Amino acid sequence: MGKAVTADDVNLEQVADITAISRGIPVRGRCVRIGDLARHRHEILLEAGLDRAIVDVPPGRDPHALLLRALELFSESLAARR
Amino acid sequence: MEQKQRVTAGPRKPDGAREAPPATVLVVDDEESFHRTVAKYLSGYRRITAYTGWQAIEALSKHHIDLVLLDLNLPDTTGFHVLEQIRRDRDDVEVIVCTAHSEIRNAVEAVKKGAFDFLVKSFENYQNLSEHLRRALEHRRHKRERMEARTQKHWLREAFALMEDSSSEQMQLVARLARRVADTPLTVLIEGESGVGKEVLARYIHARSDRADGPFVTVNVSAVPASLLGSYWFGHVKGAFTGAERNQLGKFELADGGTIFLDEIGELDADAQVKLLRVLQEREVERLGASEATPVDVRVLAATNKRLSEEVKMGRFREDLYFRLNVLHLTVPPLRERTEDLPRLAALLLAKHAGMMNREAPSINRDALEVLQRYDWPGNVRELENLMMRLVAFSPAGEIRQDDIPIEYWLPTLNAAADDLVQREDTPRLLALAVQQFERYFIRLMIQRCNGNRRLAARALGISYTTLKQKLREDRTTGEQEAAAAPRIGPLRSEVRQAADGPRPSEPDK
Repeated sequence: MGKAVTADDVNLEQVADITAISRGIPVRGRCVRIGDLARHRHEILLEAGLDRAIVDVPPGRDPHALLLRALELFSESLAARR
Repeated sequence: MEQKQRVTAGPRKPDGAREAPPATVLVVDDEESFHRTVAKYLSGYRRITAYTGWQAIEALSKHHIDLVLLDLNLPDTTGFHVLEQIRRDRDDVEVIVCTAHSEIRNAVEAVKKGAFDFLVKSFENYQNLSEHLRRALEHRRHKRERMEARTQKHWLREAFALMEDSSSEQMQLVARLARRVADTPLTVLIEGESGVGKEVLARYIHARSDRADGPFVTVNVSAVPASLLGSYWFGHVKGAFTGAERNQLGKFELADGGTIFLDEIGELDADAQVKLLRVLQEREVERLGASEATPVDVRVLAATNKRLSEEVKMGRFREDLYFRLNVLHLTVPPLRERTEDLPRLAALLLAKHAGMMNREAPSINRDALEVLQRYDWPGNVRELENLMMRLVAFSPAGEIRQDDIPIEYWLPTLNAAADDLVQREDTPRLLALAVQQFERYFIRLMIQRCNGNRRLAARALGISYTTLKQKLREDRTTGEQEAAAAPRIGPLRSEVRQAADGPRPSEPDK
């Protein structure tokens, strides 16, 4: 039985938070769930100093796996620019 | 008998704009009466007439011809012989054999030798002539489209290989990162100056992704008026607005299961930025006039020649959209920063355009490449491509030499020579060299402009024909002397060296 939807379920829930040093750059990656239980989506927020990025997780994708991959590639892309 | 040319201008559209130029038909027949008859039925075409096989072959080498209407009985040769020659040299020209002899064996042989159609001279066939011509031209257009698609596919494969195997470290880094991001759903922002090949990089990412079998849809953001953007991106349903007579898919739905490439994303206005943001967040689009949204599975790649971060600071681009587009950032280096790649790129582009023009690809010699490598290419690969296209079109020889390179590409080479001479504190002949270079170029240009007619070119240049011939002879001699000296640095640099070292013993003093 699923939990009944209440006002508390709407909005934003953090489901993962990782900080890693990749290619010498400290990067923080957070995954949040937005929306109620019946209809929600995930966003990944990436931060490295002043650089930020947001990934809208496509439906059907595992947000945790994508978080790790996004974190790695985001830092790689930053390293290439710096 | 002289070859005649009659040209009918293309029809005008109601708004006065000129439509595509009419197709050119070469009519080959020794009977004037046939030319007169056919002229009545070819009013919508540009018509060139030839009365002998030799004239026909000459016309084919001089003019752009789309279709040949060919008689079999010619005074100097047979129509079959002309047909064979056309098929051997010009795959892009369609031929309709039109003869008074209706023997079946002639028809069979004509088709075997590559004619598109066989017509017997009759009143009925003349009346249907425009239909036969239309079918032949349609066939030619399809053949050409297939050939261009093949060439384009091949060119992309080669361009991808060049990117992976680039001599420029920066380009290698970009290609490596592009390969790694290809197989993710992450959005990529590609920055780079105009003409560096941002779309090629986007196509590379698509081709290496798990969406490679899906569509790749390109949208040039700046080319769509803001008022039409909603319908263009998201489509509309029948009756959504006046003139919406049927359901229409938008670009995002067309890209479903594949990739959408948003070029010139920096030009997006504020309203359109909100619309795009919503698609990225919700992964669904709402057609104009529809009551519910349609989910779309699209990977977004965006490109800009602006610094998008600067646009954000100036308040012209939404920060939340920028964060979503700029997850992975790739910058394609300008051509002037990867001139090591220029020789391969030039060869690739020559092959591409020679393929499209159905010609043998010319090669480009080292000296010519040296001039090109010194140039700073403000228009990047697109500018190089335009130059290579011109060289394929206007350089009949199998090898492109320094002299074939237009004068505007010479300035950095002349500057380098000037610096070199100033450093040597020599008494340079630089002005003479520059003038000589310009003269060579201008004479060749004028001959091209006069369709190879040297007498006309001499008159246009205000010199006698004898002087023109003399100058061309000198030019050729210089070229041959240069060719004999190996390894070469190029006439300018060798002239500079010569000026510094004094005259060579084998050469007479000037």
